[in-house]
This record gives sequence, C-alpha cells and structure tokens, in this order.
Amino acid sequence: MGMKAWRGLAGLVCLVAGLAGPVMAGISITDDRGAKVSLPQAPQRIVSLLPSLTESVCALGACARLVATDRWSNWPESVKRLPKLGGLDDANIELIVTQRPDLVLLAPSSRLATRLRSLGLTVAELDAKDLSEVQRMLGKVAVLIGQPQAAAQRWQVMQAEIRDAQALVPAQVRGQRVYFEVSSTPYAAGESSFIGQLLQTLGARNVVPAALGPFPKLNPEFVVKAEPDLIMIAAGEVPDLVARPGWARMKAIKAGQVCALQTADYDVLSRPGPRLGQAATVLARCLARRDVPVPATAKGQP
Amino acid sequence: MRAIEARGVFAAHGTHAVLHGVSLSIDAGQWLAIVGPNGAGKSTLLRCMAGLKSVTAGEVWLQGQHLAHWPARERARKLAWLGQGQAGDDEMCVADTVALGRVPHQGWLGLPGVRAADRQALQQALIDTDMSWAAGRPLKALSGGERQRVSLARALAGQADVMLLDEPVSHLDAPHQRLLAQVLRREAGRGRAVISVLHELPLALAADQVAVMQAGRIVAHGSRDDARVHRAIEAVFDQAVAIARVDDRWVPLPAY
Amino acid sequence: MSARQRTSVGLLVLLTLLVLLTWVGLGMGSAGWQSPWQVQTDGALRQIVWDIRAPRTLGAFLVGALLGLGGAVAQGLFRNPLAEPYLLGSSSGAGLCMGLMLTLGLPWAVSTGMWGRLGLTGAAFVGAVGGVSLTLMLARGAAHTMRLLLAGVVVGVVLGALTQLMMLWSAEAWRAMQTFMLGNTAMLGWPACALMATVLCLALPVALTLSRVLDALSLGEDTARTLGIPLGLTRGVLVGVLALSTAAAVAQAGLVAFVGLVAPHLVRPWAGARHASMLWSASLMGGVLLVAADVLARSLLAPQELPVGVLTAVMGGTYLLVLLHRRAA
Repeated sequence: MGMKAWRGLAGLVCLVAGLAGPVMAGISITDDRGAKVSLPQAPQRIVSLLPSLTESVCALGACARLVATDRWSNWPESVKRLPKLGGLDDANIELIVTQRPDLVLLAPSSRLATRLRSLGLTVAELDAKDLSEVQRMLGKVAVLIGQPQAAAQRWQVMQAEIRDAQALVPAQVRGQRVYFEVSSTPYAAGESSFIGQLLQTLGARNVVPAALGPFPKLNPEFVVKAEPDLIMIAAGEVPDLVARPGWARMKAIKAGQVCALQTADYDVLSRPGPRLGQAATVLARCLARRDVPVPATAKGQP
Repeated sequence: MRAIEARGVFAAHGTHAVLHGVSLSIDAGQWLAIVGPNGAGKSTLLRCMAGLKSVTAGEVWLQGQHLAHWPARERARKLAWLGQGQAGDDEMCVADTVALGRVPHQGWLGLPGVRAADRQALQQALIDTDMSWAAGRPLKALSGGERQRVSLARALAGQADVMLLDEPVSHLDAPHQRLLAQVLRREAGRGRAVISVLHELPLALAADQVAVMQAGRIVAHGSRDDARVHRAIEAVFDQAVAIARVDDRWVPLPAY
Repeated sequence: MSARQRTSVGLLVLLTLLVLLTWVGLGMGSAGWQSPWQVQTDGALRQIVWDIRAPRTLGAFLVGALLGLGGAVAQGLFRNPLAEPYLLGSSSGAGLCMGLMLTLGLPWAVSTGMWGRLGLTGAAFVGAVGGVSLTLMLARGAAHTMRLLLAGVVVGVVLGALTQLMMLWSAEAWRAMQTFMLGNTAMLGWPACALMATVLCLALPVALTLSRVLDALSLGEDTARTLGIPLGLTRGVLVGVLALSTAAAVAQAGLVAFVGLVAPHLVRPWAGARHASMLWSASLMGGVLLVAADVLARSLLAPQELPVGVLTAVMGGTYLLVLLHRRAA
C-alpha cells in the first residue's frame, strides 16, 4: 500500500469519527441542584414526578414519551391514563424503576434523587418559582428531550397568551388593588410570587407588598385595613367570608367584588409551568369581572 | 357485736388464690396486729376488710352489718384506711392534707366548708401525731418519717370507729415505731378498733392481740401473752426468731 | 407571707397583667401599636377594634382559660405533672374529623354556606369529644388510671396516623391542617367567644365542685375510695369536663401547644396545691399566657403573623426553665 492508501484510510476513519461525533456528543445540562445530567440521546421513556414538569414535557411535544407520572399530574387528558407512582414526596421507588425510564424529572425538594441515581437512573431536578425561572425551566426540559428550539416556541405562545389576557382587562379597571388568598389561614400571594407577577403584567396592584415575601401568613386585620378593590379566593371559602371578624364591612365584600376560584383554576394558578398563559387568562377574566369558567384550551390540548 | 369481722373470706389475684377461708374479728377498744411472712396474704386480707378488694367467697361485716350494705359515706365515717404509698401532693401543706381525712364528714361535693368539729378533729390529730409544728409546711419540706406521721394524722382526723393500717411504719426508725405504738394504744383506749398489718415484730407484740398468718390462712390468734401465738410466730418464720420476755415486754430474739 | 396572702398577691398580679395585655392587644394592629383611646375620635379604628381586635383578644383569653382548666384537671386526675389536656385523644380526634371534613365534605360545605364554617368548627368539636369517648370505651370506664392513660395513648397514635394518611391524599387539606396543628387565633370572632364562654361557665363550676375529689386523689385511689368518694362517677365527670373544655378550645383555635401543660405549673407556687384555688388560677394563667402569645404573634413581624403555638411554647417553656433553675439552686 502506498501513501494514497494510507490517506484514504485516514479519511475513512475521519469520516466515521465525524459521523459518530454528533451521536456520541449527546445531551447535557446542569440541573437546579448543580448536578450535570447527561444523556447519550433523546430519552424515550420519561417519568415525571412534578405536575409542572409533566405539563412542560407535554407542552414541548414529548407527551408520547411519558410513561408514568406523580399522582397530581392531570393535564393534558392523556396524562390521566398514565400509571401513577405516588405523591410528590413519597413516590414508590420500585415502581419508578420498573418503568425502566431513561430520564426522571423531579423537584429539588424531593429526596429521591440520590437514591434513584444510586440505582443507575438519570435524574434531573428542576423547579420554578417565578416567570423568569419558568422560562429557564422550559429551556432545560426542551434540551433534555432533544428539542431545544421547542422552548423558545412555547415561550412565544405563552407570551401571546399573556398579551391576549392583558387585552381582556379594560383600561378602566387597571390599577385596581387585589388581594389573592392562597389558603384560609390566611396565606396570601404577594407581589414577588409568580401569581403576583402575573397580576402585575395584567395591570393590577397587590395589597401585599413584595417586602413580605411571596406567600406570607398575614394578620387578617391587614387585609381589612387594606380595603382591596377585589378579592380572589377559593370558591369554598366564599360563603364564610362575611363570618370572618371585621370582613363584612370591607367594601369589596359589600359590593360583591369577589372572584370565586374553582379547584381547576387553582391547578393552573399553582403550577409555575407552561400553562401560565391560561393562568393569566383566569386572572384577567376575574379582573375584568367576567365569569371565570375553565378555559377551553385547558381541556386537554397542550 | 364485733366492730369488724371477716367470715370465711376467700380472695384471689386473678386466678391465683390468696386467702383460703379466713375468719377474723375484733371488738371495739382493741388493737390487733397481723403478722406473717411475705406472701401470707396479710395485706390482701386487710384490703378485703376495707372493701378495697372483692372477695370470691365469704363476707365482711362492719358493726353488725354486711360491708356492702353500708352506704359509701356512712361506711367512710366508720372505717379509716391507711395504706402504703402516697402521703399526698408535695405542694400541699400538712394541715390541708390532714383535713382531707374529714371528707367523709364534710362530703366530697362542693368547696370545703370547715366547721368547728372539723377544726377540732384536725387539731387533735396533729397533736396526737406530734405534727402541730408543721401545720403550715408543704409536704415536700418534710422527711419520710414526718410524712408518714402526716398520713397517720389524716387517718386519725376521720375519727372513725375502725382503723385499718397496712404497714404504717415500714422503713421508719425506732422513735417513729414508738410513736405509732403510742397512737394506736391511745386510739384503742378511746374505744376504736384498730387492725394493723406489721412487719416489725416488736411493735406487733405491743398490741393487745396478735394474729399469725401463713399461706392465706390464720394459724394462730390470741392475746399478745398467748404462748400458742408465740410458738406460731416462731414456726411461720422458720425458727429464725425466738419470742422471749424481757423487762415486762415480749421481744423477738434473732436466732442467728 | 402566708399561703392566703401569696394567693391573693398572685391573683392580683395576674389580673393586672391581663388588663395590661388586653390594653396592648386592643391597640396592636397590623401596622404596629396605637393607643386604644383613639377610638373615641377615630370611627374606622373603633370598627377595627370592635370587630377584630376585641373578639380576638377575648377569644385568645377564653381558649387559654379552657386549656389551662383542662391541664389542671388532667394533672389532678392522673397525678402526673406531665399530663396535659390532649392526653385522652381529643387532639387526634379533632384533627381526624377536620381532615375528613376537608377532604370529603368541602363540596357539601360550599353548598350549605354558613354551615360550612360551623361544619369545620363543629367537626373539630365532635372529633375531640369522639376521641375521648373512644378512649373511655377502650379503657372501659374511668375507674383505672393506667388503663385510661394507655387507651388515650393508643387512640392518639392511631387517629394521628389516620390523619397523616389523609393529609397525604389531599394536598388542599394539608395546608389547612398545618394551620390547625400549630394553632391559630386569627379568625376568632364574637360567635366563637360566646361559644367558649358558655363552655367555660359550665366546665369551671363543675370542676370546682369536684375540687375536693381531685385533692383526695393525691392520697392514692385506695384512700380516696375509703373516704367515700365514688371514683368511677367522679372521674367520669372530670373526664367529661376535660373533653368538653378541650374540644371547645381546639375547635375554635386549633391545637395550641403547651398552654394546658404549663399553666398549672406556673401557678402552683402561689396558688397552692388545693384544687379549689388551683383550678381557676390555672385557668386564668392559661388565658393570660395565650393573650400574651397572641399579642406577640401579631406584633413581632407585623403585618405578618407567627403561629401562636410556637410563642406559647417559647414563653411557657422559658418561664418553666427559670422556675426549675430556681428550684434546683
């Protein structure tokens, strides 16, 4: 063999190496706990143990690759038929392993990650608390499922939905002061929570200032003194509002300016994920004093 | 009429039979000491006579009437019990603790009302047990012996016709034993009927009558001078003691 | 200083403290403290004080008083300085019933409006009384202390486990239960006060009537029986008083910790051990303790609130430590 043959062989090797390169390079991100998550190729069997992560996977187009979720994941409809592996803190490790997932998504607050990793599974811990974190989370999930462009697309859609929601709020009701109650202790959603951020983009003001944190436990007197223009509260609490000491005199209650939020609305409002646009719509309809039915787009289509 | 009487009493702890047909009686003005080895059933017998333990067969009669037929309050006025264990709340003062002995007379319902009779009985009980000096002190400030005297005063305050005492001076020193002997003799002298279960043989041999128990039966019962009683005591204690007369008193001499 | 004088002084101190704390409580709002005298000129303030702060302060006092009474009765009944009103399954029963109501009954509560609120409070009350009844059934009456205590522990553990199970299944119930577990005086209104005052006016006199029985129990069950006291009946009534007062307090304010345990200890040095004075002193002390805790809960992080049970534990525990230290020294 002469020089030509050696060059040919070298070229062949380079070609093969070049072809193999992109396949071997794989997927790699750093999750919210700082751990490096690497996959040789896009995962085909995904387990998600957090509803917002489930919804993210589906919104980014990989719904068919979900094999099992946590008990609370219920959107879209197809997810309801998937096997359920337990709650957020107590998912059954055996069941997870028998699903043979090549990627497990869960929240950093879950303590399963170490255990699952020691069993050889690939685990990514992701979560979001406000709008910017949602964007980042979507980006990471998109990379993990092998469709990095999908995140930006989805974000565009969400922005559009939020803009539509903004349009729902007529100018004359902008600037109204809102009290959003998360639970009846009372825990409220403050300015710095993502609910608060959404309300801000919709032109509403929050009676709970950012200084108190995202979800402060309030003295009910504060709410009475603050005299919000609008109260957003769980539907189950509405009949008893007048029974709360001092609340019967609040102008919002006397004028009936109370939005009763159904459980389905709370689902959307409590999951910082791809359905933020719908969350904004729920809030906007309330701000505009229209009925708050379950939005049609929430019924099972990503 | 006997002050208190046990007639053919059988008793058991669960399935284990403890008393086998025990009959014992005592008149007013007498002090009876019950002695015997551990497990003889002395405490059980006393508890049955106080109405604290139910008998499986036989009866207990108090002043000519079946124990169960006495209304609780009447019976409480006639019969005083001093058991082992709690003298009372550490924080309560002596006077209040002793005053509890008057509950059968004052009633347990309502706030305590103190009448002259109650006050007098309280004073007498404190004098008899030499505890007047401690009337205002809390129990926690007293020694073990002093607390026992408070318990005794509580039992005396009730001025009951019959007094049943279960090992009232266990772990106490000689002066306290002497005090108890004085008190019980005085009470018997006042016309009460006193039965005490005692481990301390010298003390028991100071009583008017002695009953010797073994394995759930009474093996001898008579006055403290009765030779059969002395032989019975020596027998049930496996000849570890010998009863002798010293200085006008019966004393147990250790035979080891 | 004689015992009577000590009691009078202690009583005076507590009452003064109560008046002072009430004054502070009426003025303590979500924006800091303002003098309640201003209600004479400020209509809005008068509204706030009357609608919110007054019933809340009174309610806190009543909850504390009921728990203090319960604690004194429990400690007298069981002759145990560590006894507290939740001992016989009242807390776990209330928690379970509330949990059931929250997970199953909420849609029903929504449709029936006012009954919803009564429902949750009523559920807690029924649950508390039910828990104690279950304990009494298991122990076959109140005649034997050890059996009663053991039955109470069993009921507490089992019902508590069931409640935890239910909380796992429903995330919404979880948040509400958390508040319940830590105690919450924030929503006490005039109706709640009326309810609790009624129960206190029933329970306290009944307990006082049996104060002699509680005293006699310190001599042991045998001696108490020979003093002519019908133990089964009187202890049954005392357990009833305990159940009722605890249930009323828990239904309105959740599981406020420590007040029932610590109030009797705090008053014993000056109120004496006789239950005739100890029972209402412990009640008064419990009330003062909780009013103080409520005021602090509202003021430390205004307008946010701390859970009131945390503060009762810190305050009561600290004072108890001081007492212990003094005793040991």
